[in-house]
Amino acid sequence: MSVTPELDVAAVGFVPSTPLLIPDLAGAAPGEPDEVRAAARQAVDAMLASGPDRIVVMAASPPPTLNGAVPVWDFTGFGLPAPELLGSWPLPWQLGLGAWLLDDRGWDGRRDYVTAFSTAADLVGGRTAYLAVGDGSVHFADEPSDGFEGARETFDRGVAAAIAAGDVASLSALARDPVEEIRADAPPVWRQVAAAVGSRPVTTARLVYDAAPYGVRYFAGWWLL
Amino acid sequence: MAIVNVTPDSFVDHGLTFGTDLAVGRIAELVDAGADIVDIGGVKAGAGAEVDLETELGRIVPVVEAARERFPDLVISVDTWRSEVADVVCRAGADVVNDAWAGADLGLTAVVAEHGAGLVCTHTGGLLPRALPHRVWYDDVVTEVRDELQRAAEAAVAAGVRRDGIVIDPTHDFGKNTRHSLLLTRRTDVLVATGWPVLMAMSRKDFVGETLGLPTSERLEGTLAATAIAAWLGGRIFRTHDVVATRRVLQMVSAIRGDIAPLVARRALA
Repeated sequence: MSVTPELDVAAVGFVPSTPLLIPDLAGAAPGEPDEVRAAARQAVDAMLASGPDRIVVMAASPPPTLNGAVPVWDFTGFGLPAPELLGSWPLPWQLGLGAWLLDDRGWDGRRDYVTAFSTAADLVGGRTAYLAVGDGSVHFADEPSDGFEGARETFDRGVAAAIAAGDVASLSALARDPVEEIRADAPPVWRQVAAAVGSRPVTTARLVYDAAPYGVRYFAGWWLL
Repeated sequence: MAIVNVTPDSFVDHGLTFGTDLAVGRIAELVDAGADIVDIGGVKAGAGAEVDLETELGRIVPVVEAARERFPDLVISVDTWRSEVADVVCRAGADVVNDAWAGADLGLTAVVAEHGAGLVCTHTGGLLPRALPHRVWYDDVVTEVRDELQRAAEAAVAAGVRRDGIVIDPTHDFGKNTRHSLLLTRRTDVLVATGWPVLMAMSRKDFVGETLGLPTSERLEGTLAATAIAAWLGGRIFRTHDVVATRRVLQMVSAIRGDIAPLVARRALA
């Protein structure tokens, strides 16, 4: 794996792509999301503490259509009331989730957005931290066995180990060609992470959340470079 | 419209009426309680153990036959997405096919038309039968559901289904999150404005449970509140597990709207 010399990578934050991270959306009742929300906040805080000049939010979403307007998060499609969008433009919700997390943690510096459709040139620009929004496998409790239990377990266990160890090559390999039936949405995001980090050494790697409380495998953690 | 689950695993009754005798006995109770329509289903709506065609037929056909014989004037609906099942139950005496998976079987509408049966057109956001919704996004859920239901109803007419036999159902929870279902309830009037009779299938569903933080066994009041609102806004048919309570709510709402008179109105008039 090569290094793109123009890139100055400060950190990577890994967070789930669940809308449950947003209290206004998921409801007021306290409960299980508290733990994964806290882990996501921890990952974003650690990424921000690396001192980046800008944040690049990466998510498996359609490319944002920005039209020169200010991109903002917008969760009306999940049933929230519409925000005031004068002079701004709604992001696809997966990118919007990353934007919401940055707002929630007080980041007011430069931020950019990339998707699986973005090119390497989109990754370049200053000392950068990447916020990777995405999840592992999906299988809900009520769903019958589909024969992919082993594939899901192998995939999720491998991802957790790769994030925990700062193992770019392993994460890249897992993300390259996952079994479609496991329904993970993060592989394109992790491929972008691998492209950005390349062969740079990860000096600190932490995995602080690895569970599937609602049938979707969430990971939260960070890498410092 | 009273729900009759001929299933071992449906989310409210968990097999209470699983078996022909139990189901037919339940239908008799529901008719006594005031149900105008019964909706007989042989497959749990949500994800679960696979139920093949033969099993579904084996569960519901004897119930439809017995109900037809015992209650000649009862409107019998069958909740199925399979055209083969629709064909057999219509021959056995069913009047309506409740296509709860929104045309997933492309042959179903033609079968309904062939039998001159009624059809419930539903909206699932494109989900396959029994699939669970996951992070479903609608730019405008009310408009999208209305437009899709109108398309489905007109397509059914074009396929030969009798126009006076079609109702539309926004299908709460199916392909929707709780806020989507609340919005659709709030804007029942938009669906009513299409001119098609609106069926609301809200009984004890998760959008009620999540709104109130309650399990299925404690969702009656929430369901009745939604029923009252939807009835006030013009909903016409209410699919329910709780016939007596639902009838009372509908009777009261109808009186408030001025659609019916009180049964007795002697207070302060003597």
